[in-house]
Amino acid sequence: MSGSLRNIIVLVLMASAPAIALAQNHGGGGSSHASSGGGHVSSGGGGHAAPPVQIQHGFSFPGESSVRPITPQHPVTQPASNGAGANHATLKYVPPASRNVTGGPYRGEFNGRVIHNPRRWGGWGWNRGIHWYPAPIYWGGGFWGPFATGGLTTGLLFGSIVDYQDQAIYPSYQIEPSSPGAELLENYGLQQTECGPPNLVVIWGPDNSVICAYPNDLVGPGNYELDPTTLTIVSQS
Amino acid sequence: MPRFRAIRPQVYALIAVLAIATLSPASAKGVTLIERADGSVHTYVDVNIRLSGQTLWLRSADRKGVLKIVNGACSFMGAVQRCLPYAVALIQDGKTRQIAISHGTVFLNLSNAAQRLTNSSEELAPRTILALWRTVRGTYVTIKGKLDEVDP
Repeated sequence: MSGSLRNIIVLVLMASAPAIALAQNHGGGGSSHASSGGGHVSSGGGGHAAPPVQIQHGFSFPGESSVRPITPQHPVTQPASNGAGANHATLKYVPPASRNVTGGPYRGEFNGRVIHNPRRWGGWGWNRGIHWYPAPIYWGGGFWGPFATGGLTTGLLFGSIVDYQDQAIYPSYQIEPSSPGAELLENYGLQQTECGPPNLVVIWGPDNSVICAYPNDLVGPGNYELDPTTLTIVSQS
Repeated sequence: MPRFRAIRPQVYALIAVLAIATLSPASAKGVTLIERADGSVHTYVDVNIRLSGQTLWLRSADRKGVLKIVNGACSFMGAVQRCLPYAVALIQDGKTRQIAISHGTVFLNLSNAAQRLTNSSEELAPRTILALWRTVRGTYVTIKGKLDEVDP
C-alpha cells in the first residue's frame, strides 16, 4: 500500500471514530466493515494483495492460530567483547534460563558480605511495596530494562562474561535509565561499564543476566548477586 | 528510509487508537487496535478492560472474545507503572490458545491524576492504560482506555 493511501485510511478512521458505534449496528461500507454488535471495524491495509478480512466475533488474530506456547527466544551467537581472548568457536551463549536462576557460573556461591543498599529499602520499598518478579522473554526478566531477548542486537551489547570452564558466554547489555537495575546502580553510586576487563564490579541479576560497573568506595571489584526484594547486593564468598 | 518505514505503521496505529479513545463518546471502555503484518487493521471499540493483579483482561464488546495478557517486571516510572507483557491468551469459541508475544510494554496510571509518560508528550488520564505489544508473527496490538475494573 502506498503511504498516501495509508494516510487516507488513518485519517478516515480517526475522523469516523464517533460513527463507529453507528457502524456496529448498520454495517460498514467501502473499505471498512463492522461486525454486528461486536464493536469491531476492519480496514484492509495490505494493498491489492491483502486477503479479505472476514467478519468475526470476539477478537480476530488471523495467522496466529498455529503459534506454539511461549518459549523464550535465545540470543544469537555473537562475538565476545574485546580482550576476552576466547576461542569463540567453542563457546556458546547462555540462553535466558528459567526464572529465578542467577549467578551464572558462580551460582550458589554468594554467601559473602552483604553490602546494604544505602537507601535502606525495606521489602519492595523501592517498588512502592509491589512485588517485582521477572518477565520471561526479556533479558534479565526485565530488571535492566524492557529488552526482549529475541530482539537484542549487537548495538546494545555491552561486553560479556566468559566462563571458560563451562565454555559459556554471558552477554551483557546497556541498561535502561528508568529500570530497576538503574535504580540499583544509582543507589550504590555505581556507573555501568562494558564487561570484559578485570577488576570490575560484576553484578548477577535475574535469569543469569549480568552487568558490570566501575568499583567505588562502597563496592569493590568482584562478583555480586542482587536481591531484588531490597535492591541489596551480596558478594561472592 | 527503511527504519522509518518499519515503524510508521505502529505510529499510525497509535495515533488512530489515541484519536478514537479521545473522540469516542464519554465511556470507560477501551479501544483495541490489531494490525497484521500485511497492514490490515482491526479496530475494536467498547472493549472492557479489567486489571487483576498484574494481569489484564480485555473483553470484546460482543462478549465473545477475551484476551488475557499476563504481565511481569512491573516497576514505577514516577507515578506510572510500567509492566512487560510476556504471555497472551485468546479465549474465544470455547477454546483457549496462546499467542506468542515478541515484546511489548504496558503503562498503567492507577493514580487519580493525569500522568505524563517519560520522554513522551503522551499523557495518561487517571486509571487509564496504554499497552503496545507485538506478536512473533508480526502483528501489532495497541490498547488504550480507562480501566473498568481493578482487582487487587
